[in-house]
Amino acid sequence: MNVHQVVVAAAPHDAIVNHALALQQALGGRATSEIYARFVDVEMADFVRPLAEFPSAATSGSKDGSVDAIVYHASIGEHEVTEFLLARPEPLVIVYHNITPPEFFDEMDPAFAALLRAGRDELAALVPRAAAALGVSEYNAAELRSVGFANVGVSPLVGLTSRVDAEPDPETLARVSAQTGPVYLFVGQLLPHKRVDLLVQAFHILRTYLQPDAVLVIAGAQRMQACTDALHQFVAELALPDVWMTGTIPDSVLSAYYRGADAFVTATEHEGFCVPLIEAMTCGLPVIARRFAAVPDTLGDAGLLLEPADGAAVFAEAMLTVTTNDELSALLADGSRRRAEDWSALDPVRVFLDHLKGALS
Amino acid sequence: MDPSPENELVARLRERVGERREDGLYPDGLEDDLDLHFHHIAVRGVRDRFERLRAALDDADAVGRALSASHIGTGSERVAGGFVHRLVARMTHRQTEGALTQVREYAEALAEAHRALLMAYADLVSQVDDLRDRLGGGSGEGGGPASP
Repeated sequence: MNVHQVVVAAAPHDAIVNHALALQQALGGRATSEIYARFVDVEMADFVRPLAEFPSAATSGSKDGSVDAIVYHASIGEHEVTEFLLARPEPLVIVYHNITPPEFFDEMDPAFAALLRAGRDELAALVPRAAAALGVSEYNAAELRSVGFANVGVSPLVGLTSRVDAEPDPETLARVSAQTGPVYLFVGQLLPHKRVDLLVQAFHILRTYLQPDAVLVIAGAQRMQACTDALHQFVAELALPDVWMTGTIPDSVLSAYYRGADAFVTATEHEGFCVPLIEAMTCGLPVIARRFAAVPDTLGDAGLLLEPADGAAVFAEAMLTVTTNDELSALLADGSRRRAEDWSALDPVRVFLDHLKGALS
Repeated sequence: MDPSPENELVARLRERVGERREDGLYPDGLEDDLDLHFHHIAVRGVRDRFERLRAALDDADAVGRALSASHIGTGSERVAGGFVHRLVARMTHRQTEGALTQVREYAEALAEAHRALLMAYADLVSQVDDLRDRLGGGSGEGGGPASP
């Protein structure tokens, strides 16, 4: 059986490509699964093929070149990919990783916002083509239903904890452990909807008025220049040397931050799932987050969840309380571990294969 | 909202923030000021990009205006080479000027199109700014620059 996967862009350390690679590995033995992308980063050329090399529709049906299904990972707009999918004859299974609401990008990157808007329109255009539409979370599945997809299911991400399974980098761990004050960790890309600016505001209040020896680690890819520049400038103008902005880091360094931090913090306002929450909970970190999008579903009854209207001062107060109240910290850490066990008990590969089988039957 | 221990804790956090404000620990409008501070940086970034784009267009414009046959060298290291080049240049002067005039016209048309694009971009930035200000006026404590 040939079940090929399509993504719009394949870049290293990209969560969607990582999921596609994990599915490819999981399908091994049961099916052949090549990954095709419209844009392939040179570093990914050994793993992902250009979409132009997708087997032609004419060979579909022949024994060797046949394609039994296409799995499309949707997360952004790309006209050519949508045209390609609409023109193909094979059953189409959509894995929806969520398309960030474009409003978040209107100010800093209007062109990217336009791509996201196109993505939502193109997703709707695929409704009649889809044999099944799978959200990687219940939140995403609900969005798929609202767009009009009929055969909707939830197919969790594969390999949720692969990054924190890495051996922690000893130097990073030593540096984190050497801090006299608490170390707060945020993991995620520097993008407007992650509201890292709000996190920095909270940290500014915390350090200036409440906890002068605190450290904030902001670990994540810095792909959007305007947002990255603005955040670096903000941190510099607030004179916050103890905000460590790491950029993209190896898994071993990330794992060390997770092992050494005192709490995981995120002020994000939109997530289709939020893998870093799972990583933080796997490492037994108390989590402070805000009630937005899929965050409450992913956290379950773990973590300290602030309401959308809670601003930087309440966030700072939460940070202080979580790291100075030992009983609360232990309670949140226990809750994190329990929730992480719930997630690890899932068998996402089997769930995906069941959905795939159902879609093809 | 249910009275779960978590909600009670969040309520206590809010109370504590209120107490700190009453005690005068936090200056008035602290969060709004921080929010505004970041917004100004973000907008400044957009304006910096705008300025860079304008400078690049000015440079391109200057290159277009400076197109001239006199910039085409006629020197040569070969014996009598310079003489031959000057002779050819004189013989093809009309054609060269004709080609340059067309390139100049094209450059001017392109520069005009770039200026129109720049105006449209500036207009868009200004509209987003206005929209943001209007939305910001009605947002709550947690509403920030990126809030929909």
